[in-house]
Amino acid sequence: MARFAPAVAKLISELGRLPGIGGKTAQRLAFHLLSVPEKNALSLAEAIVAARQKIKMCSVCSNLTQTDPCEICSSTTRDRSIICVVENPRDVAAIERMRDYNGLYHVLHGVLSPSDGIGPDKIKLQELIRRLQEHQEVEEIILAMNPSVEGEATALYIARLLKMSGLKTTRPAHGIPMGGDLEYADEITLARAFSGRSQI
Amino acid sequence: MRLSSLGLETFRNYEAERLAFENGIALFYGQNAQGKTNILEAVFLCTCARSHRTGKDSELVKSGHSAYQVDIEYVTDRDEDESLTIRYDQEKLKRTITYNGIQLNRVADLMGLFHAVIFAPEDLSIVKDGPAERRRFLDLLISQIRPRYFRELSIYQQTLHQRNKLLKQIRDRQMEDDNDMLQLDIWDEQLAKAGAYVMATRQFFAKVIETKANVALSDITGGKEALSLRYRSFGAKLDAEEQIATEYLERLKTARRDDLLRGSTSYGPHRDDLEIALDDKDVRAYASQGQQRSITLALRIAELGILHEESGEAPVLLLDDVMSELDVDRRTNLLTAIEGYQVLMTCTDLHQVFSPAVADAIYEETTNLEGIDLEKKDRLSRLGTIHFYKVEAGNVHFRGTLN
Repeated sequence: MARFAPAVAKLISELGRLPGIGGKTAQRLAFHLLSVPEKNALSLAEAIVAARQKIKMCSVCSNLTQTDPCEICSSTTRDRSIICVVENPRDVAAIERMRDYNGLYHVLHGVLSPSDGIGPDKIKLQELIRRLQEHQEVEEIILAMNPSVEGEATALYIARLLKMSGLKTTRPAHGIPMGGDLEYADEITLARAFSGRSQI
Repeated sequence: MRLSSLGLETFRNYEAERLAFENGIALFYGQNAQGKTNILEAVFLCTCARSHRTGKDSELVKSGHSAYQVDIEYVTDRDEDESLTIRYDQEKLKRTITYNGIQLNRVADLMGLFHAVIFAPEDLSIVKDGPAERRRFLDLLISQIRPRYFRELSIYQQTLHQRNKLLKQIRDRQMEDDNDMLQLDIWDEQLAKAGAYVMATRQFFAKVIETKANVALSDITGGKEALSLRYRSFGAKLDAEEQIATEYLERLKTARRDDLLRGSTSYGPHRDDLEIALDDKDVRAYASQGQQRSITLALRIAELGILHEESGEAPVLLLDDVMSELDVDRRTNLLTAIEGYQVLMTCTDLHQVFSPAVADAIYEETTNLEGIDLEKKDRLSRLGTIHFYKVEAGNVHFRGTLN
């Protein structure tokens, strides 16, 4: 049964493959794109093409970038003795928003998860090791993976790998969000925050 | 806490039903397979988003429909009005839980809000069946009073799943390198950490349950047998969580070769058991059917007491066809243990539970039950007013009140 013209059906199925977009939303988006002025829709198409063609992975830190090496890796004002390892580019953006961290980054593009078939060779780990061998000026590695089961495992794994290197490996503290209410914190966050309490 | 209303929408064999509860006992009677137990099941669902009979939400959806909804309103012992709604859509495979009108993000957040204890014929499997049933009994009870336990248990299960997958991958590749071993080291460590918390907590509560269940058992049987609950685990001889974690890690390392061959993990809380013994004899093998029944009852009464003490809220009691299985003495003792709690119960044959005068009056649909002489058998009424509801093919009809 042909419910839609082939070109429309193709658009719906492509949109439906995007994360967080279900069948109905895909249909709505498709018809929206067909109803707006043609130049708006084409501008979106061009933006996708441009982003895909211009954005690549930084050959140093694997972050997404338009220039290689990326702005952060080629900056002359950043502290080159410290590298913060994160799961994905969005985490870099989050830490940059803080404007308090002036070191470099390394993006893994994933975490260890045997159940998804992701081992150390499927994330940008070799790249990190090579980078550390080439850059002896690095002194500290911050392992800023998400506090999930897989994130913790990945952090621990990297820490073990680097054990012999003499590098300082650190992990951001777990705790209660600022401005958040103690009563709304989940039990594990609270338990960790309590066991990691510090004297004031 | 006191349940004041229950709403069912396309749940099991109910199309749409709303029941309001008053103080006392709500008794649902009727033939088999009319939907009596479904009412208790719906109330129990509100404690942990899980049925006591099935792990599959799809079984709870009325056939021909795509979703069910259960909602309850209750008053806490601190006199606050609260409400819970659980909705499951089997097309979207989505469960939505709402507490006082606010949507909860996780099942973990539901734990500990509404308390109910169910006594059901299926309970016998705790005593009779394999270790999984006893672990489930422990896990569900502890999760309701220690929300952190529920989360640590899920972390443990997720870590275990990852480790097992890795074991299988290494085995199937038929070659291994240092990286594999280092990865296993990491999962071992994480597993030991979460597992030690689970084991230590289970061990602690096994003792708490033992004490309470012993009192309950001697109340029920009047006997002097000592009931012992032993958490059976390699960690059982160790007290501190850190010690268990160290020992656990050691075991995982020693068993690694075997685990690699099996493709699964041979030690940990997922293999532990709660050994139940009467005068040092394993009740699975040595206790009579009657003794097993009494022990099950004692475990549930212990659960009731622990939930009540830990939460400060009196749980709602759900008795599914329990009275008819007990002799008069045990029934009396059970009634003493549950005095003061709100009770919802089901009953297939009123004659088994009540004197002929009362049973016949209800069956003949005499709504005015005043003036009937109550016999010893009618002791249930000592617990408070009994409201009778007839359940027939997914419909509930109020049939009278016995004061």
